[in-house]
Amino acid sequence: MTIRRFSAGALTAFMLVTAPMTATWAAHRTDAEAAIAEAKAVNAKAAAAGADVTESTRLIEQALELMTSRQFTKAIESADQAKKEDDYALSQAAKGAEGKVAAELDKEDDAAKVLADDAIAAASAAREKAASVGGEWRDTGGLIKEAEAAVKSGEFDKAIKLATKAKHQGELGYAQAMAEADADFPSYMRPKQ
Amino acid sequence: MRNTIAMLAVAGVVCTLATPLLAATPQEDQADFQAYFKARFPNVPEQEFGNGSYAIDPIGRENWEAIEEFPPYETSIDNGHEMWDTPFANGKTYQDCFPDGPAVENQYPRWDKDRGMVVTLPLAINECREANGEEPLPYLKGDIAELLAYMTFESRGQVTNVEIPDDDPRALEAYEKGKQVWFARRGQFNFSCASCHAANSGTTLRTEILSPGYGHTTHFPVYRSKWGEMGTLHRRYSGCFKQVRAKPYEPQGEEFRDLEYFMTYMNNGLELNGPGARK
Repeated sequence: MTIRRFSAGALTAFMLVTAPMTATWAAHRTDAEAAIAEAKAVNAKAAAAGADVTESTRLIEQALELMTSRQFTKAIESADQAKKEDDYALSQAAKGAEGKVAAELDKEDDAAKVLADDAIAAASAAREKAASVGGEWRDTGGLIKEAEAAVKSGEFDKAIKLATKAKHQGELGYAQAMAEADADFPSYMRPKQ
Repeated sequence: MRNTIAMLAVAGVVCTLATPLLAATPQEDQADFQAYFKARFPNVPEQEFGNGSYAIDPIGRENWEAIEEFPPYETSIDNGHEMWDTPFANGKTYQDCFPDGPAVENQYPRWDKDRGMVVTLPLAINECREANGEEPLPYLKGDIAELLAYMTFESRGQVTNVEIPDDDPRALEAYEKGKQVWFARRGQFNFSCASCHAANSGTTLRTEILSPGYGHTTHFPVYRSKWGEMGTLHRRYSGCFKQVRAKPYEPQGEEFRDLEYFMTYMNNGLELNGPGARK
């Protein structure tokens, strides 16, 4: 009995400590509303600075739409992505106003962006090649979209990592489809001679 | 030496050309397919294969039979019946497209020699709609699943009888393509349909008992508790593809229609017992 009582107490304490750390607690309406409000504020600043906010505005609208179906976690993701994109657009606009040093930083960013764009182009080509033989994997297209979104928010290293993963998937999917092109009844389904 | 090389080359060419001749015929494939499952599940009466995993899982069966007392697909049958009876804007009805209808499920999928392609019942329904000036229906769920539920219900008791005509090699080609889709490993998990529904049929994937591939086509469309609604066979195909992390083909695209052609041919002789209820 003592052991049972102790176990129940320990379990409750464990839950009280760990449960708030889990993702499920992040998906409340208030959190999502706060994330959207924050995204809207940055979006307004970016728009005022003359940045292109078409994509981030779409993401905010998507987040609002997700709220109606109580998909709070996804709404937060969309709002956060919109904020990242607008933050990046604002930082680019600020650099433009700071003169020569900013221009040097821009060159670094440009080089990183070229690398990320190249990685995405290679991933798209690998995906298309796999699709041409019916070997595309489920998540490859999604990884490329995530990489494109990362470029828009200035996260070039993240974009390159995602695109590299997508390219790898495309190559494996193509190789798999070619290896399986003549798939037929396996020997275990044929009667033994 | 030269003669030996030449002879080996000729032998190679002859073997390559002869391979299609040595390949199993659809009839042989069907016999082997059915025999495999009968040997794997010797206590399952043949017609029971149409009930999927409920033919081999007594506890699941008990639950399923309880569900079947108030079938969750009943409303869909009624809605489908209403669709069948409701005239199109031009005054015609589905009956004009399917003179033997609504119980025509045993006529599909079938080989259309004129067009050189497999025609499934959902495709024929949408072609009927378009011929009568109506918009085609989405293929995975919704109205088409309800109309299919009604037509399938009316077809209960018919026997699966897919034909692969001898006079058109394109039909055999479509069958072979469908067979390739069923046996090809795909996706990030490198699974084929056969990996789960032949080699591992009857075993468990986490908590689920994997159903035998024999009988898969007899009971669609189905009401799946997971979906909370009716879905078509191609919706289930899409789900399976996604589960092994492969990108699904288009519903009612050539690949899935050929797959349906192969799978349904494998089930020849089984009674049609749709619509079904599944977890």
